[in-house]
Amino acid sequence: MPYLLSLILVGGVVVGWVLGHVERPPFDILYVLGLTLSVAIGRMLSIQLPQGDRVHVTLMVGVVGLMLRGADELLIAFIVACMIDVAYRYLQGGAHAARQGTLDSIRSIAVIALMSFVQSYVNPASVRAPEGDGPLLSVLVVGAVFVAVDVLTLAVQQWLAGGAPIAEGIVLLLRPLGSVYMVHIAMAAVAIRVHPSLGSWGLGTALLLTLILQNSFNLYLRIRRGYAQTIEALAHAAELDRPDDTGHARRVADLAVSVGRQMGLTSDELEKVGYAALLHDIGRIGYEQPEADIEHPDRGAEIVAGIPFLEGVGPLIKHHRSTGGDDVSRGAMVVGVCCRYDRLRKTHGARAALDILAADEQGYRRSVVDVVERAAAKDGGRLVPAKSVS
Amino acid sequence: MVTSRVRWFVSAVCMCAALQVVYLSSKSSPAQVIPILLLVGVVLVTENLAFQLPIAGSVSLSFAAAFAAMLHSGPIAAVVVAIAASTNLSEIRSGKPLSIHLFNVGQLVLSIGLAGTAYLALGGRALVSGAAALSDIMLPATAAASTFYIANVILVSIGASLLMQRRFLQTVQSLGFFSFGSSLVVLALLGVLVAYLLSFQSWFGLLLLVLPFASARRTFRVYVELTEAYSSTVRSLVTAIEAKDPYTRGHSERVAKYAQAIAEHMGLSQSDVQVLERAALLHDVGKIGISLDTLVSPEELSEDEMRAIRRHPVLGADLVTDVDFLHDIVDVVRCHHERCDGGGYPDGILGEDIPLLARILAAADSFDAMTSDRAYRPGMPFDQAIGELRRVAGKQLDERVVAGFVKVLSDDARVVRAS
Repeated sequence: MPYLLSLILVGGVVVGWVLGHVERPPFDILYVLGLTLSVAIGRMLSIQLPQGDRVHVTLMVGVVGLMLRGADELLIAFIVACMIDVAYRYLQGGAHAARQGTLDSIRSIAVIALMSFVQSYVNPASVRAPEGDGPLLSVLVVGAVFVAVDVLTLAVQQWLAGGAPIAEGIVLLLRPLGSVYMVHIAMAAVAIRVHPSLGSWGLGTALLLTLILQNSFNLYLRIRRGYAQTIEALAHAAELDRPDDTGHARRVADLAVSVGRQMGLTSDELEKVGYAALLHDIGRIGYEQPEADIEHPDRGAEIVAGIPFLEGVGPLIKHHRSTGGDDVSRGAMVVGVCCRYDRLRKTHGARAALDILAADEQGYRRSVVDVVERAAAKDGGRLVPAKSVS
Repeated sequence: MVTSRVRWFVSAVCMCAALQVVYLSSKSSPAQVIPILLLVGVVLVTENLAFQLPIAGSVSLSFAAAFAAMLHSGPIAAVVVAIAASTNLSEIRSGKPLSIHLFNVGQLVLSIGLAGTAYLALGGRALVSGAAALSDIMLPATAAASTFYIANVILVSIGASLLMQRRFLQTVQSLGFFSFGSSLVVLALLGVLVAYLLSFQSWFGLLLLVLPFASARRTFRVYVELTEAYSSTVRSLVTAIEAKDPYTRGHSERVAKYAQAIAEHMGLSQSDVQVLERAALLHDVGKIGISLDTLVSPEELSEDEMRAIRRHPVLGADLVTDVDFLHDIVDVVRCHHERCDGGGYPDGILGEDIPLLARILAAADSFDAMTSDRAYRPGMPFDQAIGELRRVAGKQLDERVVAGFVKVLSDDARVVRAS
């Protein structure tokens, strides 16, 4: 509650200040109400990222408002919308949700304030009476700057909250959000282009289309997240059968993804490596040693073969024990080495495990061992992947 | 089935469409070629990629293009775009009868032609003949879109009901025309934007408008595929995990089929049936940790073994509790061994306190357990198992669920075959 109150207080002061300084033309209350409503809707339709954070993109409204009428009214609209949003979150999720909302509101308002500097470089005449493709290029430029400011502040905010370092945070944000940002910029350009003829109808239509397009990306991210959680839960269930292995799959997955990243695997490959590591032992269930030891890679690959979401993961499981050959991908060898490391670490300790692997492995697998060793050394001598939850 | 009535209907539609085109061409305004060619290009690309909108239902992007052509260059242009849209390659290669292709072309041309007629009749004019304010075309454009919707729904429903030999009203309901309508509203708005961008000759703006839709279309298609494959994904992984016990192999899948059939018979909503299917597939996932000896033991179980078995609903519920998609099944899995007389586990709750879906799952689970073979006994015949269900109704199992289940088992050959 104190957060909400302080936001109302600070917001009120800023609104008052801006109102006192707004230059003519006089302030259009309907326009501000429309903007406020658009921003509030945009904030409530948040997008859940794969790592679990919820973000929202209000870039289209921001760019359109900035270029058509300037930052003053936009700032008021954002402040009021943020207050509505925080109150809504407070009702939904209590004080914690309201606190998160407040932090994020301050960031959004700061972004708009920063963007108001950019506005002075826009030629208002070309926006208000466009010829041909006139204003589109400047919209794209403003949009790109907006994305840069938005992503940077978001990454800083997540870093301050204990998330990934800023550079990595930017990559993690842009991968899922890139398409959403592009949709917002493109639709902002269209909205500004049709505005002189279609007025607020054009803006409303463009906003509606933006939200629908954004929703399709949101649904896509949500289902991928659902699959990831399901596979993780079932991989965990599969280990209940072998109490000695509890946490093995999760540890191998964490290690393999971080090693694979350092070995230069692409993000697509890394994703497959993660799932392959989680499921690499699934073919063991129901078979006794030593039969299971020999046949589980083939069986595991067969199990995932018919699953569209796990396309390309089967070969990684099938070959994770192979030492080389044409159809053995780098990802499979990363999974295989990390799996061996985790098993040997358990029986022999980390140092001995690395020595055994270094003596044993050859070719690409040998270079994976080196990276595992470096990763383990960086881990403060514990030689256990930091994220593991065993 | 293509009967002679279908052929008559298709011919009538095509004749009307042709007459419509002749009538419209007498009133046509001068047209520019480039915008029409552009729109034809757009529909040829998008139609062959079968566009779906992220709101319910799937409507091709071609309506937006045809509508834009009508606003920008008049009804004849719209007809040209509509013809381009309906002659799509994958459809032709699919080997459907000629009359179906003819019907698709004919009904689209007729619908868009009628829409164009309505547009002109209400004083709408093409944007190409001079800039028009939105207020001038608002009423005619709304009327045109509504006309298209009504004509399309009627023609498609008649065609489909003749083809599938079903009642007209039944067809109307089954084709989901409400979601079609909402998609159409969005596409009409998109069409308005396209038409204005064309009239500004803002080609770059047009590209900016079309590209996001093309990319959203791809994402949305993947989303639909993944959504459809979710249950089967869970099924294949669960099957793999269950493989350790030869006597319960296939158990979850059979229970899912029984439970689904009961739920459908009891008139539960589509989403409840889906939750139940997933819960049934995963109801024994907590049993994986129990040793095989305990599970298939013909002897009386020790207290420890009994405790291990009694823990599996809780363990199973805990396993899925972090999965967003499986949030609704947590309670169902947890309560599937509760009894209506309060003698079940883990919580010993009574009757209506047990979620309905869990009561259905319990009945399906018991039935499959009775009818399948175990290490220490062969499975019961169906009739005997049905008798047993009736005997425990009101005590162990819910009476209403058992009544529904018995009805399903005696009526529905599909369920019996599932075993």
